[in-house]
Amino acid sequence: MKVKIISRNPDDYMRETKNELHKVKRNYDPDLHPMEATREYVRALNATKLERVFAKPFVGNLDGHRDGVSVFGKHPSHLSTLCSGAYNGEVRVWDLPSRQSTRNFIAHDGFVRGICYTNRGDRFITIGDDKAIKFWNAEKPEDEEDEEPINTILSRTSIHGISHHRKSNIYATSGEVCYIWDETRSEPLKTLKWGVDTLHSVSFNQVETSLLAACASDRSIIFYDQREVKPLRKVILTMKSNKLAWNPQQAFNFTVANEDFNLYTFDTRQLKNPIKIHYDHVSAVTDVDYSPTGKEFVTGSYDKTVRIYEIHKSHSREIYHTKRMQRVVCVGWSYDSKYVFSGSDEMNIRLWKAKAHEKLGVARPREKANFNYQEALKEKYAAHPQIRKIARHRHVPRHVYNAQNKMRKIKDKEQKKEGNIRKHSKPGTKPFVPAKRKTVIKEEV
Amino acid sequence: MLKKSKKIVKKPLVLAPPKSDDEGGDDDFNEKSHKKFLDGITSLTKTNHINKPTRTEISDAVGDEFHLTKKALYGKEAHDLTKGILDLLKTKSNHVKVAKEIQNTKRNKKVLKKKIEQSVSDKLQREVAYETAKKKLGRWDGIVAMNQSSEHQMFPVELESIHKDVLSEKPEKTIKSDLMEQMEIIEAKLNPRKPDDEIDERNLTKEEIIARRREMAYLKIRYQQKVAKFRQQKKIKSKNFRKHEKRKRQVLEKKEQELLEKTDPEALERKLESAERRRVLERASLKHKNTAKRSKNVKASQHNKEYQQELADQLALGRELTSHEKVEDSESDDGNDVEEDEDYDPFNPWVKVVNQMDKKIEESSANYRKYWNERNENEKKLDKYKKSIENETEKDELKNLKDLAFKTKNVRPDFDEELLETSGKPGVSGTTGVPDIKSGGEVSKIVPSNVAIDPNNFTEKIRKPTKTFDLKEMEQSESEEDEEENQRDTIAAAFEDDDIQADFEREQEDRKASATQELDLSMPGWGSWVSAKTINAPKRKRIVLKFEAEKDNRREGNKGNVIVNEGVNKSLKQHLVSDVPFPFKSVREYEASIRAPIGRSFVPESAFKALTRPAVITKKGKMIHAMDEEQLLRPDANYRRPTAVDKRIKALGK
Repeated sequence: MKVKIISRNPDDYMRETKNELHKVKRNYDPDLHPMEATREYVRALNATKLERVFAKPFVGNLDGHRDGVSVFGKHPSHLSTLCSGAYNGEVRVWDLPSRQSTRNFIAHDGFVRGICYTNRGDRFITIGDDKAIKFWNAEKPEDEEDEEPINTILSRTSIHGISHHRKSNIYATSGEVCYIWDETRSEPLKTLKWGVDTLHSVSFNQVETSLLAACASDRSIIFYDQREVKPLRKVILTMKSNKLAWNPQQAFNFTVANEDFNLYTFDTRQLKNPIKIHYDHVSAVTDVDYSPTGKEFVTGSYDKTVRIYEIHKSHSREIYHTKRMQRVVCVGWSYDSKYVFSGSDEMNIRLWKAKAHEKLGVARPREKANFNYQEALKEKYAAHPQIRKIARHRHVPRHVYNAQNKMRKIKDKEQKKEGNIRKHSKPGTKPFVPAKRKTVIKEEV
Repeated sequence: MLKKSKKIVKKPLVLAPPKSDDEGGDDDFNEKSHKKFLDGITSLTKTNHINKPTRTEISDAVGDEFHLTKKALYGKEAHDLTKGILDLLKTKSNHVKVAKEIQNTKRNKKVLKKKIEQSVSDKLQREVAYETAKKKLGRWDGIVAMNQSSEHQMFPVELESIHKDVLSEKPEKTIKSDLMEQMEIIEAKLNPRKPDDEIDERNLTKEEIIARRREMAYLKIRYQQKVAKFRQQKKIKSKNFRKHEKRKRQVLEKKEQELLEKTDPEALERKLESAERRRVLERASLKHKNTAKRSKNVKASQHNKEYQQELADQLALGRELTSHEKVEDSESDDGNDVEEDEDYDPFNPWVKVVNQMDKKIEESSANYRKYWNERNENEKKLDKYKKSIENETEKDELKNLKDLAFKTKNVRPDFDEELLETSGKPGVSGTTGVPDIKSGGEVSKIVPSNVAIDPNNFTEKIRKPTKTFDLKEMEQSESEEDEEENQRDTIAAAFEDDDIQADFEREQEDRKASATQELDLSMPGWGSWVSAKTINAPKRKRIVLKFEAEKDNRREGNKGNVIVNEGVNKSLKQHLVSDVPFPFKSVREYEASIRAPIGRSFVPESAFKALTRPAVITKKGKMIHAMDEEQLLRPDANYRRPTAVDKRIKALGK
């Protein structure tokens, strides 16, 4: 038998030196490719379909808590470490790649209200319903029974939220008042007060590091400067805000998760109205966390879903839900911007991909180029109806679907009524007020 | 203690009129009647005047305890308070000094202003604090805007740099005096030191020394790597590899030669000579006599004498050739021109053909010259015109201001709309569907450009006014009409034999013929049993067959001699865009963004890479930190992005 081998002259396809340009074997004259637009359209359509085929966002489940998960603490320098607190006062430290909990101990009586790592990441601070602030070593002790706090501070007032300064050893707690603490002292450095019952959550600005903001029970958001004696400003919204997250790449922007199913993104320098209202949830939004790139944020809601929003859009780009996931209490976005965590009432922590269709693991250069091409095509042909339809389609639980219909109807009704009132009243007396103008009731100085 | 001033102050005032010179007047003073008298006076005005309290004894308490006065005792009022005291003091001579002192202090000292309410002061403090915070936040505006407008963003952002210009920074405190410095300068002039390439290690800071050592270590490593690579490459026996290497070398040499040809022809000559010598030596070394493929083959067939003979001949020939080669080379260089060639044969038919071709070219070249002359002139005119326009725009400064806006090169449609959320079985769509394509107004039809023209309906295609813009149309818009005519002519010429007009007429006739017709099938006498005049005869149906033409569903304007094909794109319609998407303002703009392909099969590799680069690039397993103030403070001169070398050096340090 004669074996025929394909033989090519290497001169045809090899460069003589690596400094030369690649040989082009294809004629790129557009006249020779009359169907290029059509072919690219078909490729875009296929890419969109493939995206939906590969959209499997659920990565894994961290199982171990014996009560609802209440709070997360992200390690400032280890991507693989996550800390979580539960309703029964238990704190667990997780090793994310193996999805195993490396440590677990009962830290508080009652709820764990907040966890935060210190700026150096060598220890973490937990707070609970028992008014205690406890410091723990980030390293696991040799013996499990030695699990004891390094330091415990008993606060005079109840504490609901905690946040650590990005650069110095200062942290803030919120409760009846906002305290600024030094790690080395057992008495607060400062007490910031502005006549409010409870401050639910507090968070330090990561960029302009001395700024912090707190959400209060009187529907207000209060801003503080850690160096000032007095608070800066207060904004009262129509309903209570549950959580506040600062944009890590835009110093002045932040987003609040509100009880009225919406999220509001504000510019700190212009608090009269939000710069964007983010709709789509069908129940109170409980938590919000920014992607470290500052382009997107993730939200958890009482409607048992997790949604991902782009900062400049009012509708979500993604919705995550599973059959067994109950009310989502806390969410987090990993510092490599690839993963999203959600902790819910039914004791589980879920790990999701931030991009549902992204391939996990290493992509080879050709594969990567192809993914980039697909993304570019999808973006380019995003306006075409078929692609739009496929890209936007999501399957949601029945209760969400029904609630959305209901909300839509209510909104339509209100709009209609408002229109009718305007129609039958003296022109100019009932001006059209955009939704952004209605959100902020008062800006207190 | 303080008493009410009524009694004390008013006594001398009110009692003054009844006071007489005689002593008995004091006895006459009736307190009751006096009070009555006073009451009477007060009742006249009907307002109860309460005077300012006066102090009779020294007290630590400031202000008055009664708080009955209507006016505040701050500021100017407080000043006025001293007036009463002064009046009193002036009456007695031994108090004059005190009075003076009081007056002096009154003149020289400022009275403190009233303290603001706590709530108001808090408010003011907050306002100031907020303003400062606002100002601080404002610093980030620039960088945020820059990031937003940039097409690609890389995360994590790397900022550190190992090369910091420490020497250029002046220390705050100087140890040397000015005189010493001047002296040093003069000394340096008097005994100039040799410029030393090596930096004195004593002048370096600790960090610099560390950085230098690292760099040295890195260079050493690089050197070792190169050595290892060289050794490894030396061992490679692959023929292919060697061939490739050789070619590489040759190409490099060729390039070098080209460069030398332009810059230093003498050096080139020398080089060529030496190369030639090398080559001759190589050929003379008899290295290749036995290693050539052919000679190996010959070796294998040792018994074949013919072959052996052949080989010997070849070798001889080779020797001959090598000895003469240099001469031949020079000959061939000179004999480049065909006319001077000795082999030129006028009867050679091939050469003849070439000559004939030349003549033809000469004939047509006259036309070409004319054409090119015209064209060149036109181009010159166009250039002039363009320049004049440019000059005008430069003068208009307001117009130039527009360029300050951020330019977004790669605009893509941006949708902010709800997800299409459905429940139940997959495939059942929700209420909010895609905007109805059928009912939606057709702003544009994105028909793939350069569609091949169908000969059956080309006339229609040409006449049809399209709302879409073709790239070619844009380019050739200047001479559009001529072009159109030309195109029509060319197409008409291309389908000359088809005679479309005749086809069309035939089609129309067929259509007319197939219009409603009646075919009378009744035959005389059939169906009537009696004469035609019979009145009572039952009326029979005429046997008529009706052929109805197919119903014409076309629109009114479409029924003439032109047939517009309406239903051709029905299946395609669902793929067409009905509105201009958000950031675009016109169909033209949007189509321009769609038109240029981005795929590997349509654009070169580098363009493909540039066009498909994602807007946000993140790395797996790399922490992305929030923005840092370092980003704000970074001046481009001192800091630069760490290069690969910097990173390696840094890694070595760890």
